[in-house]
Amino acid sequence: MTQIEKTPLRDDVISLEDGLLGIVCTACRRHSFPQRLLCLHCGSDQVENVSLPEQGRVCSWTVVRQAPEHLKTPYTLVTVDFEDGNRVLGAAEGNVRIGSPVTVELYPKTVDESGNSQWWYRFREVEEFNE
Amino acid sequence: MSETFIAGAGMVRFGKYPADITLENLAVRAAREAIADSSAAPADIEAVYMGHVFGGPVAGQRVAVQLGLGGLPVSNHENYCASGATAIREAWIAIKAGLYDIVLVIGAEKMTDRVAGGVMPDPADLDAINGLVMAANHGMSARRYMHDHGATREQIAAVAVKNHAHSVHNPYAQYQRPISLNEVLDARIIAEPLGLLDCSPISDGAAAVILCSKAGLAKLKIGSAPRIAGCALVSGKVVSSTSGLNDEDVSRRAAEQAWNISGYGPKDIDLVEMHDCFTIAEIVRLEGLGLIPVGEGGVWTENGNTSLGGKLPVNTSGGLLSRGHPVGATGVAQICELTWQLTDRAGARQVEEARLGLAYCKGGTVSGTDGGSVTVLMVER
Ligand SMILES: [Zn+2]
Repeated sequence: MTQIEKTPLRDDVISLEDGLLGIVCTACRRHSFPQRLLCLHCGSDQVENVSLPEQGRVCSWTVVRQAPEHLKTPYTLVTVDFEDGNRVLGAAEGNVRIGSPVTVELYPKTVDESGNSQWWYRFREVEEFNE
Repeated sequence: MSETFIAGAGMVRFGKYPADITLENLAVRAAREAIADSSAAPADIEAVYMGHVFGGPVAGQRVAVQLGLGGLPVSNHENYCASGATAIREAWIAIKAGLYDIVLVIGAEKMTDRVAGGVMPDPADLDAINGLVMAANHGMSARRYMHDHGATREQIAAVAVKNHAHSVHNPYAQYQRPISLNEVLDARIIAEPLGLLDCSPISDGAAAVILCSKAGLAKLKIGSAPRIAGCALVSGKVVSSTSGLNDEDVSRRAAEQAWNISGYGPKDIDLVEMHDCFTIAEIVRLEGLGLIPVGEGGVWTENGNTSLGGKLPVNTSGGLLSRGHPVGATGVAQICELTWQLTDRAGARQVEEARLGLAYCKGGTVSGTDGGSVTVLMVER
């Protein structure tokens, strides 16, 4: 039997060890998400790979109750602000509120043709996560 | 640099058309209305610009040949929901440059047979993986707006009530019946807190205008026609976690460009055709343009300031919420409405003494930014 492997759905967005991935620009010092060749702010290629902080804060959120067929409703989406300057959209589990701290959580989202589980990120309110 | 005038406007009623009424058919009908309105002969037209998103390759050429305009320069323009407005801007640029005197611009879309459940970003965009339907962006915007400004759900819903009240007087609107506040509040939820009636529908339709230089107007023996005072186009920029979710910097930048081109400012505007793809969007975009004070959009709507007869009538046509939103056609339909308003042909929805109108479109989203494309077009009597 072949071993079922865990892989990131996109390895420019998450790593299984470090969570959300981004870059910091050595020219303008600003951060971008996810990893990419050029700084989003100034276009410089002098960028270094970094990971985002483990926690951010909810800027706003919604529960989606109607979506195209391939998406299973309802689901919660949040916009999360990080201290490194990144604002990231993602799904959330559990209750969230404006201003509440959330943590990045990785989870198996899909399975590829070889049966490997493909992992992705979502957010979870910190208090609830600690329970 | 030649000035640009609107010599003719025409559209088909927006709505849900059966399969045998094709994109080409809708576009041809709208174009014929605009051509007839301008009294141009087909031989007078020198180029065709077509805005569409879902029409497939060379849709503009398929339409042009059906109009007997084969052989002309034809170009297709895609900027999602700002595609029609972008096509107008490209035609305006060509006339200003002195390339042509008389051109046809068409915006057309057949959506009801190819889009279901709501429009999404491009599948390759990061947000699409996270299930970002457009309504979700606006749901988050509404929730944050209520949080920051103490606006009520009722004030946001009032945008839909107002725009549906306007469209009662627009024979080209998809919906032509008034709706009550309770109908909006009680509608099934799409993306909290927004319900079905906070969302513009998926529609079919087409709209067209004939744009002319001064020489073109003379050739068509038209004494006076509304003038395009400026066309602004900007794209989204990366947002950071320190900016407000409803800062609307992209709208502010588009407005700044429009004021620079036209020499006018927010106080000069008499009426607005606003891209109300969702109720909350009308409010935050008006604020972003500087047309109403930040945080007061809800109160303004509730008090009737943006209604027909109010301080600044917004969406006399019914807007996207009730005229309908065939995405590529919307920007051109907005200019049809401004043309009719500025030539006193808007019937029961006429804004008295309207002199200067502004039309705003926003097309698409790009992950991490404050938008795809934003256009601000200004038309004066
Ligand atoms: Zn940089």
